Amino acid sequence: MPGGLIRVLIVDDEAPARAKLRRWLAEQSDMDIVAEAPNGLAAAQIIQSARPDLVFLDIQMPDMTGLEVAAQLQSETAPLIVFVTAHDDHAVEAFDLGAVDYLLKPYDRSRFLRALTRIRLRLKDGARHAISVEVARARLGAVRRLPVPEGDGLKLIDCSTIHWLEADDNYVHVHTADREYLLRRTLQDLLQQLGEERFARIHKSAAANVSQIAALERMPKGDYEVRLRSGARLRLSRRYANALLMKSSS
Amino acid sequence: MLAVQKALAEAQLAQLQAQLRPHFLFNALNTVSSLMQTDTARADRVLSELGDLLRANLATSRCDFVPLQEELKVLRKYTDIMHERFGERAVVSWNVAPDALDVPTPSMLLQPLVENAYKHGVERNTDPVFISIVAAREGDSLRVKIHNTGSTLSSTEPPATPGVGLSNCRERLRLLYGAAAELHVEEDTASGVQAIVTLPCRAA
Repeated sequence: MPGGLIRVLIVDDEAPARAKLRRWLAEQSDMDIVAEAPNGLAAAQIIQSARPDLVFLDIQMPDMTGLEVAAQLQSETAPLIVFVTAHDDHAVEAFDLGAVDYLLKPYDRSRFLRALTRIRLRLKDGARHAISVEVARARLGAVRRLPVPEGDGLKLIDCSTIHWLEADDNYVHVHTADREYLLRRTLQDLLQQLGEERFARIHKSAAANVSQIAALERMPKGDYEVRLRSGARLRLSRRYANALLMKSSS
Repeated sequence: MLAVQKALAEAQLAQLQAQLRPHFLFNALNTVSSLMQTDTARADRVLSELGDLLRANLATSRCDFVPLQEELKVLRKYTDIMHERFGERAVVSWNVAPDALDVPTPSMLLQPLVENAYKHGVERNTDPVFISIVAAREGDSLRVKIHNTGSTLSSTEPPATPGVGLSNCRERLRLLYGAAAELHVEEDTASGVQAIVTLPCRAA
């Protein structure tokens, strides 16, 4: 982006709302609209594939809300997010506290331009964009559903169907009963989103769904193994064994 | 009698507060704001519909009963505005028997039911949702059915305000008609939800 155009994604399930943003953004010489998405799942997919710098993100949408879209982004690599919402509820209070950009519907041109001014500054000084992701996670609490790759797109799976997670550099293998999905996330970041109460680290590069754990078994040399309800056996490093033993006994 | 009137007034107030969610208004205004840039005639039309809708909602406390025809006219403003917002994502069909049009109906009784069809059906689906509004006389009763595809009774999550619209509607029917009227909500086999209001054809 330095010196180049700001690549923008517009997300709203209502066509007139997208049209308004498209029209006003098109008047800006430094903005390049790379895509539009009519729902949250499409937005999550486009953010992954097109890597926009900036996302105007509606909150209330079918299949995935704007907050859910933001919460599942890898916080270090997230684009700058401007929430656009008709909501008059607590979501906005949370935005006010943090340095999160938002537009309240209906907004006029001067408010839109003020937001753009702020956005340009933020993009220029390379400030952390993670704040929107963090605020969204805090708002949502423990997530129930997670978007995973399916064919050319994404689909939502229920987090309770996840058995365990396996880190692989900057990727995570998500193991369910019958499938394995590959996410471009770090395990650390995914665990932060899923909540460490429900998913426990078992060694440096793996975590298990606590409710899927059937037993912890002590091995001859003092090591442990985690046995899942599915029968799968996973190595449990001593470093995480104590915490897990305490969690499973409470 | 005074107690009944007080309860009625409270039920109406509660219904008013539950109606026309701010979310609806803000989104409708944003739609107007968008149309203003491209199609002022359409923006004008939506604004005047919105005005009519607000007027009808505010007038409810003063005028308890309206002919069904009037009630449906207001509902149509609501669905017209929703059409501007959602386009082909909502397909609404109307089937009203001519002899039902003059039946006295508690004003704004049906709007929360149609709102629900959008809230739980249209707003939660990316595929088109079909809403049908059917009204007919059955003997001495008026029966109005509001059906939407794309939702189930258990899918109404997050349960932010579970059934405020429904319970207000029921409470109003009870206060106005006693046991002679009812609101029945059911799931149908084709993954949809149907709300059925049955009320006597006389004014209460």
